[in-house]
Amino acid sequence: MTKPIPAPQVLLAEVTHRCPLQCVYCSNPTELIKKTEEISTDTWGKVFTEAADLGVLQVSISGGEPAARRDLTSLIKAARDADLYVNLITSGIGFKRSRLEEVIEAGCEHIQLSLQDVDSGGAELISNLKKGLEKKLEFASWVRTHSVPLTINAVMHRLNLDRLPQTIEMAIEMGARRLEIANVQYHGWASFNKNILMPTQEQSDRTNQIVSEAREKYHGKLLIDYVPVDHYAEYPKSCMNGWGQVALIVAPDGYVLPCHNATMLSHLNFENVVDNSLGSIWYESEAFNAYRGDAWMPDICKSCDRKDIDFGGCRCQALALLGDASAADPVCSRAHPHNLIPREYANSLIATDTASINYRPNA
Amino acid sequence: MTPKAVPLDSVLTFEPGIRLKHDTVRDRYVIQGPEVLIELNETGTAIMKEIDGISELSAVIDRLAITFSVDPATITVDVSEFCTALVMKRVLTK
Repeated sequence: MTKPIPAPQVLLAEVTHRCPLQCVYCSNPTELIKKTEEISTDTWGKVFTEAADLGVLQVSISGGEPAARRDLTSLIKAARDADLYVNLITSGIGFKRSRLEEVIEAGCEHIQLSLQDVDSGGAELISNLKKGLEKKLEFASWVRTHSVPLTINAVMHRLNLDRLPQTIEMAIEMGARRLEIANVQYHGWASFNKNILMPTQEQSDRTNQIVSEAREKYHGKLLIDYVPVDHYAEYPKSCMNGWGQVALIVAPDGYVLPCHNATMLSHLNFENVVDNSLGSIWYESEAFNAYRGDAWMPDICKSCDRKDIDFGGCRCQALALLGDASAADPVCSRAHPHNLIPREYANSLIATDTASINYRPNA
Repeated sequence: MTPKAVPLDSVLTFEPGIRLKHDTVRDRYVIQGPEVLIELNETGTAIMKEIDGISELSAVIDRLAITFSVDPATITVDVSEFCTALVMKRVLTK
């Protein structure tokens, strides 16, 4: 018997791919959507209303840099009018203080600020933007004068992992209530810089230790979410908490995706909010049904007692490393006990020279 | 590590950015916050509805005891533990 499809709870609204930063690990697809292809304010309003009617409870307005959209406050207001809980995911770059105040006034309930590095030079090396860190510190100081909670999202990799303790301290100084310590996911643009960013196994092990100590030390003060380096894990991550189970993503051009990177699965046909309702896309579209349940799984996953925990892992990673989107996640030690992918593979990538770093061109 | 229980004379309120929402699609109440979604059962919902930023926790417990027709002493530990856990999750604050 197939399980009923649950209603979605989370919407990721990627309102633009435009961004003043050129981060070498940018998680957006390698082909960026241009401004002229972006859907309108009214279409976003329709998306928020339909999402709330479907059962979505919270929206994360993300990008690119959402502030690149002139109608950002209208988008936030439309999401609040639909009674969604509104998170803003931002680099903090391109905001004036008055604009931040408008965003909060419009109903933004939580701000998540990205942090490239606690070291100014390190931050510039990653984002190709001068004085980025200083601007972020200023942005955080503005947020602190409001009652809106702040999360710091610190993206970690080999070049900044040794500064993790200082990163945790900086999050506290910035007034964060939450800290996400997120290791780079090696999809999209990040795959072009794997050899520069991939942490060593020693770094990965030490990070686990530092995170668990910090959680103890700041218990009740700073909530810490942690995304480990999955290349060194024994089991795959529970990607998106299951394909088409919890979350949906609307891309800047209105295409609806089950996962942030799903456009790399080019054999799937994605549908657009301009042509179809969010409800029909969620429940009936080919793309959302492709990896629901276990019918698509290889036998080793189908018979595995972890299939309801990690849902076979990440489809994009299976395609990228094994050339087959329906294969067991290459990270899984049960499915690939003798495979060198990805632990030794990860170690083999490590290069020390950052001269070959590839910056993301702007949209 | 067991956190110290919230004293009965504390006045609890929601942390900024936290709200209680009636999820009409699933007919339940949830706590929403920064990357927080906590599904509440009937008891949890009743407790959260009594958190008003004015009443001491002991008064909240007294009112709940009336609602559920029980002796306040029988629910004090449970309500206190529920609230302590939410203080540690930065949902409630003193």
